[in-house]
Amino acid sequence: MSEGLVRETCFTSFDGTLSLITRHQRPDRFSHLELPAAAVHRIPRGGGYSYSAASFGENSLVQEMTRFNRFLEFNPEKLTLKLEVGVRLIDLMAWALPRQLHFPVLPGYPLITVGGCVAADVHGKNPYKDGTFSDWVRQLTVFHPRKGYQSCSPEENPDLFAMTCGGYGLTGVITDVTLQLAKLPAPWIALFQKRVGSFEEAERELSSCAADIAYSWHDASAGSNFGRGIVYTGQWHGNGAPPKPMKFHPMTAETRARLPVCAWNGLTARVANSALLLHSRYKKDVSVMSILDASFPFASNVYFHKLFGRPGLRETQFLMSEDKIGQCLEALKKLVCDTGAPTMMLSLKRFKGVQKSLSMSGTGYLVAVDCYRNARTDLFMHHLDQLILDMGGQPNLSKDSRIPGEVAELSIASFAAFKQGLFEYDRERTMRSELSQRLGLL
Amino acid sequence: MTYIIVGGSSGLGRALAERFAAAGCELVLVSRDIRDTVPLANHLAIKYAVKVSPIAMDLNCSPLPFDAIDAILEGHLPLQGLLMPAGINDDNDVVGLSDKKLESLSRINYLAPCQLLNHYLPFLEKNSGVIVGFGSIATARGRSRNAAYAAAKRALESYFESLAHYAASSDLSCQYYVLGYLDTNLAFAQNLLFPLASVDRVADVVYKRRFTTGRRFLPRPWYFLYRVVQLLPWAIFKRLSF
Repeated sequence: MSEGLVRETCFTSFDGTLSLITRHQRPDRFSHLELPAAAVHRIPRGGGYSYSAASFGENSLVQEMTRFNRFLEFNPEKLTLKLEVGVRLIDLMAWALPRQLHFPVLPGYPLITVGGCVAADVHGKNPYKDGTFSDWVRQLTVFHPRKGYQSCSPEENPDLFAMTCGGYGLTGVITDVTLQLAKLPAPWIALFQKRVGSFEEAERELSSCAADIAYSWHDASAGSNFGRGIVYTGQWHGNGAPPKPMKFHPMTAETRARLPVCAWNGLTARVANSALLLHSRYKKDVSVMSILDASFPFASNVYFHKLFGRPGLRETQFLMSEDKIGQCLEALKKLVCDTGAPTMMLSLKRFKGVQKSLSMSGTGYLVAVDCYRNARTDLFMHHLDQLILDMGGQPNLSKDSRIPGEVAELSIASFAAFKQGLFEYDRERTMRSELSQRLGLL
Repeated sequence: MTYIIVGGSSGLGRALAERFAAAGCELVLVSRDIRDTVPLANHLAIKYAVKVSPIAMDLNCSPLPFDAIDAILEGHLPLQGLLMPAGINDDNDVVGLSDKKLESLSRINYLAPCQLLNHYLPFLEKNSGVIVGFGSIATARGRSRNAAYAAAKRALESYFESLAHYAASSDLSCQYYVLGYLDTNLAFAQNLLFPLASVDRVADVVYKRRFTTGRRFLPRPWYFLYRVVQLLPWAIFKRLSF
């Protein structure tokens, strides 16, 4: 069965917990994309920054779309930009900023591709104000080997559009995306920091601000500092020339895991968190930076991820309703303190949106928890799953490489509808990944 | 000024298109599949605000549709250069291959580039233009693999030598690049002994040296390997399988 120019590649999830050798194609023209026979199971891949194995799977041909990275059409009246799916966010912004435009929903790393953002329906630095990525998508083209190229939008093929945004590539390979851009209000961001002593204080700050960027960081290492943190709020600021292009050393799942051991443990986590809090005392409360630096903090601060080394990390993100967030964080604190969980940091964002497909959206607070890995990690995660289920939370599938299928099924409101829609749309389940296998979507 | 790039939709051709467009050159992109050329033309026009015209052309057809390209050129600035990073090889290209494949490999790798060159030579001579051809390290010495491909590229190299000699007294610049392993889709699927060179870096060299004449190896270290392969005693060379 011809698959074109294919090699074997070892893929690793960004959190470093899953690795797999499988067939890998990197098409750079349409004829190559279409070459594998329709019966070949496959899954599209972008930059490879998903924490879960959404872009590779056993016996599935990985179609890496990074060479489909051309800008196709710009409408200066509607401010829509049609581009191919492999365009990276840094390239999108490098094009948009000099033209006094920007894209409001930017996840944390600049080398993530537009296709990956659609597939995981990612969020940016203020999902309460800007929604999720799919809220800014006007049209998509999806290639499915049995159905050909299908255009979809909220008006045309709305079911396919809804299943594809946040559908983790299971409806086909997205080839192009039309994005709604926004006018750049100002070239810089003034980022304010405010130290808080507890989650409640952070919640109050986040719920009362009308900032363009709003999130908080908290010390989540077990101990007396648990919950102390910093609330970051940002506003467009200044005028004049737009910022210069960002310079950074690219980090991949492989380069992140170069350190053979994990440098984070109970002691180093507490020391690093305390140092960050102490540093914030002597730092100016307002820093002016480019939108790129404000949006992609992990591009210049790679050590947090790199120090997890080859053993990797566990991250989990979940959305909790506003009325339960206080109770949830109390329960989480108790869980961490009771179990001595290897948690490092926790982050909060306010969210507003409508949940669809497998995406994480809704109204409430996003909670992100990062853990280093030891014997207690998976037990803690198991308890956390139970807590999320008990409180009606909703997990982010792209940020947690181990969410069991039962948890996803019980906690994601549209899971059953997505599954039914997918099974009707593609009876053979041509698109397959480790994630789809784990969730029982085969 | 306008440059024609033949094989300009992917790999080195795309990198050349990006580099020349970034420098403000107008382009005519020629490739087999218009579905790949149109997006690239749009991309370059959006990103660099230059005029780029795509055209579908299969180098395997005869006669080549010069009229279509000439009609497009009428809407562009004067023709300044012809870059031909086009070529094709075949896994089954061994001595004794079918007549059809032999003809196809010869046409795409040798005859069509020569015909394009001949057609645009008068325009380029008039405009002190540039002609750039691309060969391969595979031409160092005939092997059992890539038999027709290497023969065609060696013939093309010879034709470029003749062109350089012909143009020595004119302002025409002509270069012939012998390419080593490049980071293209073809190399992606192979286990190769040596590191791959970035097509963007190669395109940058081609752009900067466009007004020179001569043969050059890219990346440079490939020259030494090329010479070593040529100097290997037959008793050793015949035992090698690569």
